[in-house]
Amino acid sequence: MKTTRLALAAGAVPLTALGGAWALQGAWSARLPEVVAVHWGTSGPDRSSTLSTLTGVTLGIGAALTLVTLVAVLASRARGSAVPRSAVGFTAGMAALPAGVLVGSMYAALDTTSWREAGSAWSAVVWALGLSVVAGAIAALVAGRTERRASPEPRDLPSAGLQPGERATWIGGGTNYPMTFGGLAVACGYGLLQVSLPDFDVMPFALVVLVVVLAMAATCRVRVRVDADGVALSLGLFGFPHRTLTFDEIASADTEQMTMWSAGGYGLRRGVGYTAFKVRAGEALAVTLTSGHVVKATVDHADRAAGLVNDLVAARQSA
Amino acid sequence: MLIRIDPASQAPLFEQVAASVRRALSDGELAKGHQLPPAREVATSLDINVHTVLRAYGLLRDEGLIELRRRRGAVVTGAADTRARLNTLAGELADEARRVGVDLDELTEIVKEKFA
Repeated sequence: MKTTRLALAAGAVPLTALGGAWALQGAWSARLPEVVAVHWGTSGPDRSSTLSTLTGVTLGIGAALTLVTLVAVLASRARGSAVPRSAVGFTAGMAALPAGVLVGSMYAALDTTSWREAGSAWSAVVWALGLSVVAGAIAALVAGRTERRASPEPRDLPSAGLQPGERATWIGGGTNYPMTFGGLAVACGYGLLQVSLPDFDVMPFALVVLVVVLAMAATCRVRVRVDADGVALSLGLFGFPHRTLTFDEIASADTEQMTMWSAGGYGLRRGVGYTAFKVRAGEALAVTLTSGHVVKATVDHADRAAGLVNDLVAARQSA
Repeated sequence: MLIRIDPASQAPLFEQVAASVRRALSDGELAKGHQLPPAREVATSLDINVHTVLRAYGLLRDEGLIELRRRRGAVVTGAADTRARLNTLAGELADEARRVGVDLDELTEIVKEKFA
């Protein structure tokens, strides 16, 4: 049932918008010139296209976007991921945007004989964005509430075997080495290019390279410390963002396997019911809070960290 | 890396910290080139003196398991895997000898015979 709703939201809603634009083009054909304005400058329309070309291009792009959206949504659903209704609404709205562009251009050209007589750009923009927003809102409504993922089968939680009176700390982390050295390689490559080609005007790319290197540095490593105070997590070489979970808010801890696509990518990821400090695929520490929210971190030997968290939670409850 | 101590134990705290590192080495949790956590961080987490952790790291350096570098801190050496395993086995051997009432001289003789 949920899959049908998602398919309707991601596929049928944008297709309806595209079909509506197509029908409107047929209904207005007698009132439209053969060539319509497609771009406006400060002094009015400055670029044009034949109506048939504009119709073909916009509806073609819209159909392609709809297909991509539909496949992505159904694939996420098939993988068991929660598909947020906001994401469905946004992507369906984007897929319907070309239909809005077509309707906007046609509306501006209504009852004119030349594309230069086209009306205000604002009416075209309002039609384009308006149709997109309405389609997105309808898709979000059709998609319905976001389903939380079903809880895994209950099993014994890991333990580090901490005895009463013992103190312990677990300090560890996970590193994405390709990302770490990739940032370095990008910086070195750019430096070499700049030195070897002094006439080559590559300085404008320095900012892009800097952003790439900083992004890689900020997400190449995650560090976790578990001790009597709680669980401290930090991301990247700069240790930011960081978060400390106290045992007042921790219910339990376990491990899980994350794939490259889990949580939608690398870095600090937020989704329905979880926050992930993710730098690689593979084993991850998953700390469940009393609120039901799960905080994940892709660290090596996560079972030992989870075991210590559970032992410290149990010790606190028995005290 | 899991480091655990029992303040009520007869064993000195620095020896317990060193034993945790040896266990991590023999379990494969630490490998050549890995950095140990900064002594100050370990000391704060376990609520012990930083010199206790530094003494444990010094002991591990003397055993050839780690190197203490000025900027990188405590780094696991290449020989750590085998030496840590040897240390663990030697510890188990000593425990077993005590359990069955074999003294140090006798145990040494047994080891010498096996080694020859």
